[in-house]
Amino acid sequence: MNTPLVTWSCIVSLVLLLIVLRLLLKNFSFNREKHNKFIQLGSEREEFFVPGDTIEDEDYEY
Amino acid sequence: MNTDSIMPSANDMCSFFARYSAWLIGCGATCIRLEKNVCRMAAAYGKEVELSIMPRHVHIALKDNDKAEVVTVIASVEQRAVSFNINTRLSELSWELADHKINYEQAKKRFDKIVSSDYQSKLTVLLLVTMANASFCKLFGGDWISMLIVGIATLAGYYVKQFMSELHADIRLTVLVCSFVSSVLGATCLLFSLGSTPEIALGTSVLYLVPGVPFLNSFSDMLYRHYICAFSRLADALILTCCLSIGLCMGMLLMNVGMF
Repeated sequence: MNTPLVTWSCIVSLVLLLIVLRLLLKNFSFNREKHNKFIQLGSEREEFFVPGDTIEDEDYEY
Repeated sequence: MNTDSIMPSANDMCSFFARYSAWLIGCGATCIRLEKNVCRMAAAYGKEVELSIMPRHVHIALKDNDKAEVVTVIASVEQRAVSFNINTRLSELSWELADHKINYEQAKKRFDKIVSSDYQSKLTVLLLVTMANASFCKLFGGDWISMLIVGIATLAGYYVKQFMSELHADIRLTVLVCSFVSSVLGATCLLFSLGSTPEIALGTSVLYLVPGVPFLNSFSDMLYRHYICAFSRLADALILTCCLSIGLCMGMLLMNVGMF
């Protein structure tokens, strides 16, 4: 058995798993605090808002 | 320039100095810095201070010359990570109090603010440590591929360190685990025959774990004859270095890297 390769693969997998799990947990708790869902439908404005853009209340009604 | 309208009591002042000392020494200050800072503040109020600094406790005796009163307080040293920010801010505070730019009440408020608002972005620290260690690799003659591998090994190791610190794991165990992770990842060049300086990549991948501040502080304390603190810090630093070495050796052993 190739011990170095197995060790290396295990360490890389564990570190990657740790990073992904922590990111997911962080995202989950962040969303929960803001009462948002992990995946949701949003308006175009939420995705492409640029500072200086008009906010929702100031928007024109077409 | 502010001056105190009411002179603080020796009791109150001694308690404040004790808290100040516990934080300053806990943030990685040397004994001589602590002595100078506290004596400076006390002298501004016409008081004398005697300090007895132990590895885990600070014993302060404040003598009020006017009332022939002596107050003694013992404080436990704050067990926390080294913070150059708190260290500098507390030293500035001592100068401002000594120069009467702020009064005693303002100093106490400033102190509370300093110790409670030491926020460092974990991501920023992680990236800076990664870049610093990768630069070490280059300094020691490593090529670009080795630098990249050292950067990745440091990133992973320091990430694990942050994770274990959040879990309040023992610092010796943390150093051992991080050293092992970084050394295994640092041996990537050897495993896959990448680059021309794989040994440098492996050697420099764990440098970020070297306890530099405790080593430097122990020598500084020794120079000023604070031998108890000096040897305590030296012992701490040596234990951490041993843990680092054990992790590195385990990594090298499993990666079939010859040690000698």
